[in-house]
Amino acid sequence: MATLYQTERTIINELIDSGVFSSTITSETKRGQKLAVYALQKPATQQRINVTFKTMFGEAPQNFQENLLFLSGAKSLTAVEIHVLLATCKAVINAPELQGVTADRVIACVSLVTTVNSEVTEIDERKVRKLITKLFVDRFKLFTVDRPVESEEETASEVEEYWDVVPDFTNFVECLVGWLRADRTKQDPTDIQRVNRHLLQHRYLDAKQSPELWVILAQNKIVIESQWRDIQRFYLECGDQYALLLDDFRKPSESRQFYAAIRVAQSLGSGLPIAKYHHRIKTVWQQLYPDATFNLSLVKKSIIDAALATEVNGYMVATPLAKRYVIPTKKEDQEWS
Amino acid sequence: MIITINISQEMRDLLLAMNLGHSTSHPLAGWYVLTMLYQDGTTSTEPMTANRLVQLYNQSFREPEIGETMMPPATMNSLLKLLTEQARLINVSNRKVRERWVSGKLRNKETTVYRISSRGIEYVKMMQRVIEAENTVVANTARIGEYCQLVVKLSQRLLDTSTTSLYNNFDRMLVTYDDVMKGMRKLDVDLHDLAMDLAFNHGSEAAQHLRQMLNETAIPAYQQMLQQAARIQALADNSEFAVAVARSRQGNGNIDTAQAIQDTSAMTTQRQQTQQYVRRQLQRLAGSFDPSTSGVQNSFDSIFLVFQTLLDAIQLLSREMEQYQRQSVDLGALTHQLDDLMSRYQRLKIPVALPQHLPMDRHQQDVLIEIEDQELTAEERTAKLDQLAETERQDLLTAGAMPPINRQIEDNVKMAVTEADNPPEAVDDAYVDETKAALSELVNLVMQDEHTLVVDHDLTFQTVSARDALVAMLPATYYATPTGFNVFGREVSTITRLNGSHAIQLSVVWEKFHVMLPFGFQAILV
Repeated sequence: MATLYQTERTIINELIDSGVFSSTITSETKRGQKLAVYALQKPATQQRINVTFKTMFGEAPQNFQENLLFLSGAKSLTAVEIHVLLATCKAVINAPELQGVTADRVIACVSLVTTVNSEVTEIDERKVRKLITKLFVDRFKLFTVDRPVESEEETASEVEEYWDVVPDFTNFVECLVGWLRADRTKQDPTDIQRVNRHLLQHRYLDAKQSPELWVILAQNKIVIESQWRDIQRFYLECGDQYALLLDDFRKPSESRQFYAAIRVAQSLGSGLPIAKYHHRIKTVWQQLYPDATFNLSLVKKSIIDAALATEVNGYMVATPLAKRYVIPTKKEDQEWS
Repeated sequence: MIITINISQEMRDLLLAMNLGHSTSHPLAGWYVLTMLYQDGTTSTEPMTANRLVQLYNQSFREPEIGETMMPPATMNSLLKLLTEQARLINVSNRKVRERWVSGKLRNKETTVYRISSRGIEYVKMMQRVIEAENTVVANTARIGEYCQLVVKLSQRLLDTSTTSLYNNFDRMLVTYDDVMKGMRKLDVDLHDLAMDLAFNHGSEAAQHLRQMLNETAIPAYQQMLQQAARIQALADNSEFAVAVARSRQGNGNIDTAQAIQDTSAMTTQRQQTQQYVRRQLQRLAGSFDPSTSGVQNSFDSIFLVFQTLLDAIQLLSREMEQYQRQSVDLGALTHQLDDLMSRYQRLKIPVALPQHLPMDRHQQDVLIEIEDQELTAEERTAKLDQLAETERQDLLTAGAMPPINRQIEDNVKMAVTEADNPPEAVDDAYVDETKAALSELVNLVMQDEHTLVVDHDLTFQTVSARDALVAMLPATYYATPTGFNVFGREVSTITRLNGSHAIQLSVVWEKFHVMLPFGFQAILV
C-alpha cells in the first residue's frame, strides 16, 4: 500500500474514533483538521483512503460531498436506538432553524426531544434525550451542548439547553441513508479482512474463542502488521494465545481500579461463578488497598474496558490479556521481572 | 407669465417631509418660491418683490384641490424671511423699483428684491437628484480610472495656472471621487440585498456574474484608488497647490463678473475662499485614505470601510456559492427516504460504535529515555525514534516471548511535616542604644558653644547616629526658615552656609564609605 500522508491519517483516525469525518471549516477549526479537509477534496486522497479501507476491512467509507461515514461494530444497535437515530435525523433536517445560510443552527433540546418522542412512542422523553446524547453528542459528535449565558438574576428562571448542530448534518444523513440502502450482501471479505475487522471491532483476538481467525492471523502476521503500520497508530501484539491491537494515542491507566482489575482477573483461575464475582473483587481490593474507598462498579468497568475478563456460560473467565501484567507487591520478590 | 410646474409624487412626499418654510397651511410654498426665483429670477421684466411672489404663487402654485387658501402677504414675508436668514437659499437686496400708482403716475420706490443664491440653486438641483438617485448613482468603476488620471495630472510639478483648466480638473476630480464613493456605497447596499436573495432563490448565475465583477473589476479598481493615496496626501500637504488652484480659477476662461470688471478686492476674497475650499476638500480626501483608527472613524467616506464592506460582500457571496453548490441535497427526497427506512426500522442493522482500544504500554521506556538523554538533532532523533518503533513492532509479533509488563504499585506515602523541617532562624544583629554616645560625640566635635554648631572641616565619627544627624541638617540650608529640622530634639533656629568652604567629608570609623557634603554650614540651635 502507498504511504499515507498525515492528513489522510488524520481522516482515518477520525473515522475510527467517531465514524464521521465532516468537511466543515469554521473559524475555530484547528489547522490539522483544515488541512485534512482541503486534502480530502483531492481525488488522489480519496482514492488512497478508499484503498486503505478496502484492503484492510473490505469496505470503503460512505462519501457524500466530502463527508465520510464509516460504520463498523461488533454488534448492531437496538431497534429502539435505530428508530431514535432515524427520527432525529428526519426532525433535524426539516427543522426551520437549519434552513438557509444565515440560520443559527441551534435547536432547543426540549422541542427536538418532543418531536422525536412523538415518532418514537415506545420510550419516554428522558430515554429519548439520553439516546440522542449517546448517539449524536458522544458517538458521532454532530451535536454540541450549548446554552445562552445566564443573566445574574436572583429569581428562578428556566435553564434552556440547546444543541449546536454541525453545518454538514444533511450530508451526514445522506451518507447514512446511502449506507442503509446499500446492498451489502454481496460483500465477501477475505480472510485477512475478516481478521482486521475482528481486531477493529473486538480489540483483541482470543485463540480459544476464534480458532479459525487465529490460524489465519498466525499465517499472515507480517502482512497484517504492515497494513496496520501504515496508519501509524496501532501496534499489533501477537502473543501465544492472543493478538491485540494497542493504541498509541492512549496513555496506560494508572488508577487503583486498574490494578485491582488486573489482580482480580489473574485470580479468576479457570472460571469463577458469577455469584461469587462481586465478593472476589471486594476481597482483592481490600488486600491491595485496605484504606481506600471501594467502588464496585468502577472496578467492574475497568475490567471490561481493559478486556481482562469475560463472561462465558455463567462463569467469569480471564482473557489471555490478563497474563500480560504482573503486579509485584512490596512483600513479594520480583522473581519474574 | 404663467408658470406651471408639475412635481412627482415622490418629490412631493420628500418636500412635505422637509417642510421648507414651516408653513402649515402652505406646506410646499417654500419650494415653489425657490422654483420661481430659480426659473425667472433675473430675466423677468418685473422684479421679484414679495408682492410679486405672492401674486405668482396665488396664481399658479396654489393647490385649491387640497384646500389651500390664498396666501396673504404676511405669510409670504415670514416665509421669505426664513428662507433668507435661516436657510440662506435666497439673497435679499434693496432696489429702486418703478411702480405705477393709482393716480396714474410712475414712481420709484425702494423695495426688497429677492434673488436665489448659489446655495438655493444647489438645493433645487440636489433635490431633483435625490429623487432620481436610483438612476444616477451608478456603481461605475470606470470613473475610478478617470479619477486616477486626474490625480496624476494634478500632481505634476509644474502647474499651469493661467487658464481655468487646473481648477476645472480639481473640481472634476472631486466630482469623480464623490461619484465613485457613492457608487461603492450603493454597491454595498445592493450586495446585501442580493446576498439575501441568494439564500432563498438560488440565482446562481447572477451570483456568478456579480462575483466575477467584484473580483475582476471592483477589487482592482480599489487597489488603483489606494495607490493614489500617497499623491492625495502630497497634494493636501502642499500649501502651494491650493494657491495655484485659486489662481487658476481666475485665469483665462473665467466668466465671473468680478474678474471682468477687475474688482480686485472681490477677486482677492474669492481667491482666499477658493484656497480654503481647496484645502478643505483635499483634507477630506486625504482623510478618507487615513489608515489609523481615528482616521477611519472620523472620515465620512473612509476608503478602508468601503473596502471592508466589499470584502465582506465577496466572502458572503463565496459562502453563498459554496452553500448553493452543496445545497444539491433535496430535502424532500431525503425525508422521503428516511420515512421509508423508518417504516422497516426493526429489520435494519446499524453497528454500534467502535470500542476504545487498549493503550500502548509496551514501549521500551529505557531506550526512549536513552534517546531523549542523548543530545541529538531533530532528524537524528526522529530517525532513532522510527528505528525504535520498528523494533518494537517486530518484537511485538512474537510477544509470547516477551516478559509481562511490570506494573509496580507504589504506596502513597503521606508527607508529615514536623518542626524539624523548619528553616533555621536567622540571627539578628544586637541592638545597641548609642544615642547618649552620639550626643556627646556631636557636642565634642562640632558644637562651639551651647547654641552654635559649625561644620567646616572633615570629620570622623564613632557613632552612626551622630553622622546621620549632621547629614540630616544639610537640607535645612536650602530653606529660608529651617523650622522642622532638629538635632537630637533641639530645633534649628537659623542655619547658614559657609561661603568659600570646600566639600566636607563625613565618615564613620568602621564604614567603607563616606558622605560628602557639598559645603560646610553653621547652625544656631534653640
